[in-house]
Amino acid sequence: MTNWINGALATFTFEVRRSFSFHRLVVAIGLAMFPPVMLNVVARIAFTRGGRVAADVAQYMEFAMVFLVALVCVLMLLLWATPNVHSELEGKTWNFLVIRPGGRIACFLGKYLVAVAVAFGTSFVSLVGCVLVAQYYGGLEDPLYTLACLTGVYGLACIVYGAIFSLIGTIFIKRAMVVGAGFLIGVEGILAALPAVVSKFTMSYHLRETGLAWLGWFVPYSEYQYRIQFGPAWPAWWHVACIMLMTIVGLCVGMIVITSRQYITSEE
Amino acid sequence: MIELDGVSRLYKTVIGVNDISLSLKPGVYGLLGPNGSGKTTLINMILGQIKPTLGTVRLFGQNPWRRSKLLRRVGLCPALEFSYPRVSSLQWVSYLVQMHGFSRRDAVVRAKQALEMVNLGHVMNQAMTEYSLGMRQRAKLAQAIAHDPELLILDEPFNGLDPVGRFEMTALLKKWEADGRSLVLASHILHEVEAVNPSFLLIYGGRLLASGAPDEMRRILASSPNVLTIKSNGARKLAALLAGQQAVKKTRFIGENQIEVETMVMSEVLNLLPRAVTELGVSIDDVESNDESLKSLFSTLMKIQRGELLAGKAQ
Repeated sequence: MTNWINGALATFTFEVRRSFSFHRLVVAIGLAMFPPVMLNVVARIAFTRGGRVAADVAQYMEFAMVFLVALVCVLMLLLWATPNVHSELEGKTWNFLVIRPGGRIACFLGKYLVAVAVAFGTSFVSLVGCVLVAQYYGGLEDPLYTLACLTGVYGLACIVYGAIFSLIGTIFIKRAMVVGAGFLIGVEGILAALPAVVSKFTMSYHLRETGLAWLGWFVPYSEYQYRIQFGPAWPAWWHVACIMLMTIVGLCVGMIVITSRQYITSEE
Repeated sequence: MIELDGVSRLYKTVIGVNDISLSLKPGVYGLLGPNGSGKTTLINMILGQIKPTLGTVRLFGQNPWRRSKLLRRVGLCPALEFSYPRVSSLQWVSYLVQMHGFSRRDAVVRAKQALEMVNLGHVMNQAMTEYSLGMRQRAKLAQAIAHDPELLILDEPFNGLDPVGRFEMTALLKKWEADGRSLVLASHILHEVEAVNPSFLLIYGGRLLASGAPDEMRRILASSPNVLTIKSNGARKLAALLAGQQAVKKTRFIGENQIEVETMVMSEVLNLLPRAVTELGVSIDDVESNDESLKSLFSTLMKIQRGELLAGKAQ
């Protein structure tokens, strides 16, 4: 256990150091700036026209912000968490890592931590930009409170989706990103939007409910209609507990898979 | 130290390793076999990275599959070529030592010592992408020895090394042996393995063809035919001279100025060449052993396996 933690922290430090390049920094900043820029463009057009349009945009600004930053968050996780095993096999560095005591688990956890840290960092920068833009156009009542709540929600999103994508990376080696994207669209997009019990098993439902509990109503249709479709509200702690449980399950299953599978590099 | 009992490994319908049984006590071993003979598969099974389809593997008395604690006692230098952009050998080796449970400070100290040992001390802060193939090979060796393992397994460690690098690597492995530590050296080139004087394990087509002490292998080698290619301006005269010799089994013209000579005793043929130059007045431009002795050794062993030759009486 101590070796796992030491190894995971060593992997985290090593990966962060080696990944820090100008090219990657530019990509991360570009992604982080996408939501604030989009929000600014939409708001500028709307507020130039004024009247009803401007009022609508101001009403939905919080929702647009949540949606755009969520895209950045899952995209970063998809890029960083899913290729956890594949990148090592492809780079032929897998054999050097796994011949260490607890090396497979340390590598899995270390790369998970890197993915969470990078995705959270990018999402946070993006979120700050969005809050500033929304505040400029007067779309937020309490910007600091909104920022704090959404930071918490995106922190949870990074933790849980990082675990799910890391698990996918251990199971599907060659098409991990495709499977990850399919999971996002199919399960976290379509399934989570179904007015049925099955939607409650998705993480986007729990994250949405946590956001609603902390932030208040920001979804662009009536609460009454929403509650008819998705059922009554539960306390925030319940949703956070579900998210944490899913994270633990994802990581544990991932650790079992990575230690049980016989990964073979292409040259072998 | 290592025990294999009826071990086979299948990759779908392809046999990687075929029914190998052996027991290795601590010592120095040369795992010899041509490319694709199953050496890496065997090493991966010994280290618990893949499971045998049949049979059992024991490393230090335990099944290595999912017992990664055993790996604290082993150092592996894989044959794979890898690349980490912007990472120095010191960073890389320190990281891998940390994975063994050492603190960051201890890991750096051990990594520096190991890199000094393989003569990379002066470039240990440089990015490994700037290294030559031989330097990367030495960095790979450093990560294998930095945590001070009992058993060192090297898969094709001489790949990419220049003659000086080969000499230094051999000296290092001899020192490792002299320190009383165990070594398994996998290679497809006989003379590289011979240099550290190990007990041999000869593997071909996934099967263990022979194993034994260096003297035993030399005896088998001595009875294996060797093929020499000689380039000379008087190839016909030379062929006539060699054809009359008892040591020469067969001569064949490859081109106008080139002959191929098959012999059981290569040294006798080589001794004849100066006589050919002085007596026949021909010039010898090139002499090449194109079967690299290992090929002929495997060919002999395969014949023994198939019953075409009797062991020890190969002709």
